[in-house]
Amino acid sequence: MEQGKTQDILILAIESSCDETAAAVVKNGRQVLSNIISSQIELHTLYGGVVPEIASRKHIEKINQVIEEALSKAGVTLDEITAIAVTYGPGLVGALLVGVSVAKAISFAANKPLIGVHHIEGHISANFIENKTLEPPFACLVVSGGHTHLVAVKDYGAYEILGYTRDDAAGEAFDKVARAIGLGYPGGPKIDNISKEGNPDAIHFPRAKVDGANYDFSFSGLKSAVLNYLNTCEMKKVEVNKADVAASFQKAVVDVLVAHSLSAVKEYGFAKFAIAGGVASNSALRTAFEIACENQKVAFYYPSPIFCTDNAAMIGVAGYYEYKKGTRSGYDLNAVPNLRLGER
Amino acid sequence: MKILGLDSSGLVASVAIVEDDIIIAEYTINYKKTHSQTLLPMLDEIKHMTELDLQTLDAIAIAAGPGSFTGLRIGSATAKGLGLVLDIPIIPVPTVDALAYNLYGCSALICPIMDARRNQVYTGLYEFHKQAEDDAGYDLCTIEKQCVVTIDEIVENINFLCEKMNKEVLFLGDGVAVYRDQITKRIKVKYSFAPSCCNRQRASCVAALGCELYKKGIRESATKHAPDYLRLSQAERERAEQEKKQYYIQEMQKEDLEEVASLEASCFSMPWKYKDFEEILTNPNRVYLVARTDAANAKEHILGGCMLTNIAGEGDISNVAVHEKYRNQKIATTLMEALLKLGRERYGISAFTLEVRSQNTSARELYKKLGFVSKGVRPNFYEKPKDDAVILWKE
Repeated sequence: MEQGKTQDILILAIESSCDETAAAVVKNGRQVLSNIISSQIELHTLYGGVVPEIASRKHIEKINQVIEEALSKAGVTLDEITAIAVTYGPGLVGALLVGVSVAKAISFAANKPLIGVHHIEGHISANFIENKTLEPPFACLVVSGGHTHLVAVKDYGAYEILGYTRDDAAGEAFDKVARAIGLGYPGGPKIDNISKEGNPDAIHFPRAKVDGANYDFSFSGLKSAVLNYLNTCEMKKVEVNKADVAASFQKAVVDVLVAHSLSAVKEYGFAKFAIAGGVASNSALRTAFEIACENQKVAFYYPSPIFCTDNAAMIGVAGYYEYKKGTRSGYDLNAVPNLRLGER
Repeated sequence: MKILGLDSSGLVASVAIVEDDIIIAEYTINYKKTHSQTLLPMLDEIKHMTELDLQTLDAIAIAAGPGSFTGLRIGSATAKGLGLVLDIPIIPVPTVDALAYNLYGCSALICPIMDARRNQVYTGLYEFHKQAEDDAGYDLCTIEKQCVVTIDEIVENINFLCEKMNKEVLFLGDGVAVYRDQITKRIKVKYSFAPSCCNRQRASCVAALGCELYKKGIRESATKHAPDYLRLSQAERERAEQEKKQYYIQEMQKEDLEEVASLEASCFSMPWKYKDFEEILTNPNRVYLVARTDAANAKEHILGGCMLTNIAGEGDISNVAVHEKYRNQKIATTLMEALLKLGRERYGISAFTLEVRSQNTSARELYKKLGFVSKGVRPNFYEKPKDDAVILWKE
């Protein structure tokens, strides 16, 4: 190997926690050489949501192809890879196991170190890809179909959870409301789109607070309020304006996310704030945070949509920092469906 | 030839290295830990103990299904990762076949049973045949391909076959523990259960049988390999249930002609053509019923069809066809019942007749259930392939 090349750290990352089969090659923690995502969304649309067994079956069909594509697009061979990073939780256990088993076998056969990565750590780390100067400490809101976490990023790989959802994840509420007003799956992008034609102040839905936990979230009450509203309209035979309902619901979610996040940022004295996860590509959410952060003189960071959705590049970034810290996983690494952030 | 064998299809996790006719290492555990925690550490242990150079492996033989969905995937994903790095092929070995291989050379009928939950078992029936007279080995021959059925179904089949073949049966597999009582209650032929040393999955069997398959050219790339589950996921099954309920029976319409003709072509070696079906629409003594679905996502809308010709008060039934994807869902029965009813009501028919290929057992079974009885045989009536026609009547 050439002298210069030996100093580069190349991570091959694999992610299969839900319904995207993904692999990526990341150089020195910040440079994405390839980021391959094979989405199953069309398949699950038939069922109105992700079916775990179907997702797992698709993962195993696609996984090698995705990995091979990631390597060839990056123009590197397995030999040149420094370490293998893989999401081992949280997520759907059957889905996670595909990525974990393949990653372990590659690590074993190629004799490369293995690093198990937390999925949320990956989402947070997605912010490092395009914001080359962003460094901890900062606060980060992770919002997706499965997660709503407000996290203090104290250092690379060092997290404190400031708040989380007590019931539904924000993305889950989007999916359920979208289904109720007949928009279908996946709910996030569909509500985002139709909301652009609606009046966000048409209906006032409740903004829930969790007693004694200022930074925790609860979306099940909001979801019920929307369903009640729809029922009432039906009983009164009043026609529902879908765009207004979507926009008003979306605003209620965004208001709560922004208010809780920014009061935490203020209390803990963070100068930087980031968002991550699938819902982070919601346009109303981005705009609201942009304005709120500017008012509070806090620097605001967010990843491009391609790094918001589940992807392996973010796992490669997180894997890089874990690698630098000396984190290594054994061949007995297992999938942990309810893995907590900061736990190993 | 050096083969890595893997089996994680059931509770057992098993890893073996087999080189030609020697087991270099085999590591099998039957313990509650998940395969994700055991399989690769076991291979790692073998590698250290036998100073195995992975580069010397020629192929990976894996128990490719059926079995526990998650177990199969852990094994498959492991094999795929190894195959990707080592650039060697995967030999997909049917799990039940590999189980039967435990009892190599045994003269009894072999019946492996794996508990498949939901009151079903993964099973199959096998026997060992001597290869050519001067050869020293046996071939594993499949009598009943691996399948998912109830224990009663397979035992009934064994009762029938063993009596016919004058054989005993030998059971093995984790399903024996679950269904032992039910087997002993129903079995009518001589039987026994394999002992602990050879009654569970073993990777050496997977590798040894894999070696035989490899010689026959059976192998696939690590990229392409995926387990063969033998079962759809629950969500897919429920969806299929929903879909098949959503068909209705009606007389063929003009817009059905094209699909009916292609259905006919897919079912018969000498099919009726579009024009023949078009003629039915204007023939007062003929009627063709279709099973039709309006499901928006269905690829085909005509699931099946059958025809009745009124010949002077007698009903001649023909062209009974069901789309391959929709068989075993009682569509033919529903169609036939509707056709008989229509014949009685419209033409006052009291006697129906039809001809069936003597070798078409599933169709003969269906007609028997509907009350048709055999009244004679027309030798060599059918072409492509040649077959006798059995003449059936229902009065």
